[in-house]
Amino acid sequence: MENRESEDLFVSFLRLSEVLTGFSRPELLATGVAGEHWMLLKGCLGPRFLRELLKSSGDALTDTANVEEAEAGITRWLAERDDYGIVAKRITKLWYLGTWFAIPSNSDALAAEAIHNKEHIPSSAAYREGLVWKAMGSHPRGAKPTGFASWTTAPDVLGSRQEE
Amino acid sequence: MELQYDVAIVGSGITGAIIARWLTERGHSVVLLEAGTPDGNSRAGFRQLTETFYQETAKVPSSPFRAQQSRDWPVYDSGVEAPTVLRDMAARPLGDEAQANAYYLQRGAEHPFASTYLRIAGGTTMHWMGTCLRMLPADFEMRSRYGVGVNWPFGYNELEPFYRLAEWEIGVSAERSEQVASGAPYPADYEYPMHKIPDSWLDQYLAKRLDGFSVAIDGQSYPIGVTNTPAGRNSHPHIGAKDPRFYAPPGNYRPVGDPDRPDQFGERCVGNSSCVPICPANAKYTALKTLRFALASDRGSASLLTRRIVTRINLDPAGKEVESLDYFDYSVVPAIKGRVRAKVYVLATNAIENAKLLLASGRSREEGVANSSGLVGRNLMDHPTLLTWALLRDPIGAFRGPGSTAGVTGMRDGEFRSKFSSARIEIGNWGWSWPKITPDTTVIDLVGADDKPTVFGQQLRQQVNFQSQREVTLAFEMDQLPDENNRIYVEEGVIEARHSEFRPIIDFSLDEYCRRGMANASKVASAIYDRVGATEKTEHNPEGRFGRKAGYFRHEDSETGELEFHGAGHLAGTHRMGNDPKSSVVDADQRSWDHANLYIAGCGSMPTMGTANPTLTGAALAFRTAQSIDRDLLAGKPVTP
Repeated sequence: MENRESEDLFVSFLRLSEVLTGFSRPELLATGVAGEHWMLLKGCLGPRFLRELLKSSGDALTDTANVEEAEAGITRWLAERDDYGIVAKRITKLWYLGTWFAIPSNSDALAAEAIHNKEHIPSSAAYREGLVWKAMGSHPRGAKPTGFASWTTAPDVLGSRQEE
Repeated sequence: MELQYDVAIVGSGITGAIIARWLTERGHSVVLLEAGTPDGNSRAGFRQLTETFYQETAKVPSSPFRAQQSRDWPVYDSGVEAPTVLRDMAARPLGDEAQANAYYLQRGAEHPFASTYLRIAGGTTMHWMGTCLRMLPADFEMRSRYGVGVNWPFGYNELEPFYRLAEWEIGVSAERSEQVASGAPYPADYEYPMHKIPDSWLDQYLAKRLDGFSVAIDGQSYPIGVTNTPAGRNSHPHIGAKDPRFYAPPGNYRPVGDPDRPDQFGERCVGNSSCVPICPANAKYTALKTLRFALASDRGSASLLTRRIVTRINLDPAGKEVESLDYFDYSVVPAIKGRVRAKVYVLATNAIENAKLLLASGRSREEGVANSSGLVGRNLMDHPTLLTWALLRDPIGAFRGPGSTAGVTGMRDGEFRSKFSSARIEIGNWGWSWPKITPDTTVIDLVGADDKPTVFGQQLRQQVNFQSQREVTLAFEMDQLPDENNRIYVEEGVIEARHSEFRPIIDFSLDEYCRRGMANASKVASAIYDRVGATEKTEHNPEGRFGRKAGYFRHEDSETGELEFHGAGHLAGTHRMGNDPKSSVVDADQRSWDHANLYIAGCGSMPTMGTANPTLTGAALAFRTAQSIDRDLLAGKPVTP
């Protein structure tokens, strides 16, 4: 892929990730693992499929004015093609859990030699920066400790949702 | 190559480390033969354990510890891992062919023995939680008081001074003023080395709602309140508390931290929330903290030899005393055989490996060494654990802090113990991670399988938050009575191919006493959840979960008719202590009745389990043994009372 196109696709990847995860682009970039997730995805998916996936999801997000419209757009987009859902689920779990879950080997989405297409955590940073910890209002277990006696206080009100 | 020492200790876990430290401080020479690697001993090595943990998808207790790749044996297609990291010790469905790849061979009729351990310098304390409760006086007298089980050869009062030594060696954080209410007597002038680890918000939330609550068990009322749990985890020293260890430096207790940074004070717990399996801050006790002092002693000398698997205990021609130990040294390629001679020998591996080594060394497998009682390997016990879990009404911020900071001790003892098991309830701060592997499964289930709709975006984020904030697990650690038919043994030909070691063969099941106790516990759980306004979510699955067969059974007295138990990682009973050589393997000092220069030490010596996590009691016993060995060495011969 050419540099410029690659950049555009990376931006599309971030845009899609934003809607799938419920975290903003600055939050995703602040994890420091956006680049390595993008590299993993490029390694696992066929380049033509990846372009189609990101172009079509990008189209679905065009002219969306807020989160609700964006999510509605992606919901419609997911229904377009089974493979989109399969990959979208894995992108979401990669961001949340820092874990890549293998795409079924018979899928058209796969690259010819997707050596990283197995269940694994690609790096310590991917685990530590998993969005699940932020979503929970907690911290990654074994990292980013919150301090002695921090567990004795009421949970962070802002980080804690009241309705299901 | 032959080595010679005053004392040879097999195993460098907490039992071996405590004995080694005491004896080196008394001026003796000690060698520790450790089957595993020394990974945690250096900063870099410990850091690597943490990194391995981060990148392991299944964050089970053994996840930081890499499999030891034996360098001179071919890799088998079956992927059998070297016994250093026994990941594949998890219970396998009985009869499953996958047992061929496991370390244990489970021959029990119904239930798996579900607990595992580590082989590494520092032993299983490398991944333990750090819970340090004392057993109760009644636990030592089950036969006299309740007509079940057996009595120990001594009571609580006689072991009490050794509990103090253990608490100071480990560095236990607790307030004596709170712990006296447990029913275990403490001397008036005793204080723990460090202040308690503060109760979590969850503990406080439950305590408020359980205020004044009690349950009826077999017609009597038992208070259900929340009590802080003593822990081997650094906090602030109690100023002015007196250290009972003769080798301790003067002044206040000095917290111990990273073994590779002896110049630094130990760091207090900072809330990494990963005690099991690893504490990146080294606030949690591991036996490496004791080992480091043993190795640094200038009064005696200690050598830690790792990657040495002891395969045989050799007796003298008369069969009276131990003459030497044979081992394989895997630190070189190809592995070489070695032999150690000492004046006194100590087996300090764990309840399963101690028994395995004794049985493997006999003229016949049934006979074993030190086995005139026939009890070596028998009376294998665990704390079969009933997991219950619920969704609280309010957010409490689960997944913060140590895995457990408090528990419910109100049903640890009572008249009902003549009929069924008592239990200690551990309040879990880490949500449903033990029973359900949350938060991973929360995300996985919400995002959905490929053929299911996808929850994403704001809804995903919100639902992950809503559930995770409200998760609570109450784990009931059930007392288990000794049963001769629960055992570990070995057989000719059943060997672990890579290292030519015998594989432990295990028969294990729960008796009606324990099942009924668990049934009662399930009802107590429901009553507690009801009282605090939580929605119970406990499930019992006959197929097990996550590829492992559960200990599933039905019981009409339980809350739903079904029960499922897990292993607590508490292995005990297989070389029980007693007053009579016909009904015990070792005496009150853990000396073998059959061989005066052999000690068989650890929780394997425990005749009953009670409801306290056993490591603290094992550590207390280790101090007794160390003192006995010291008397033997000073006298130049075994000194039996």
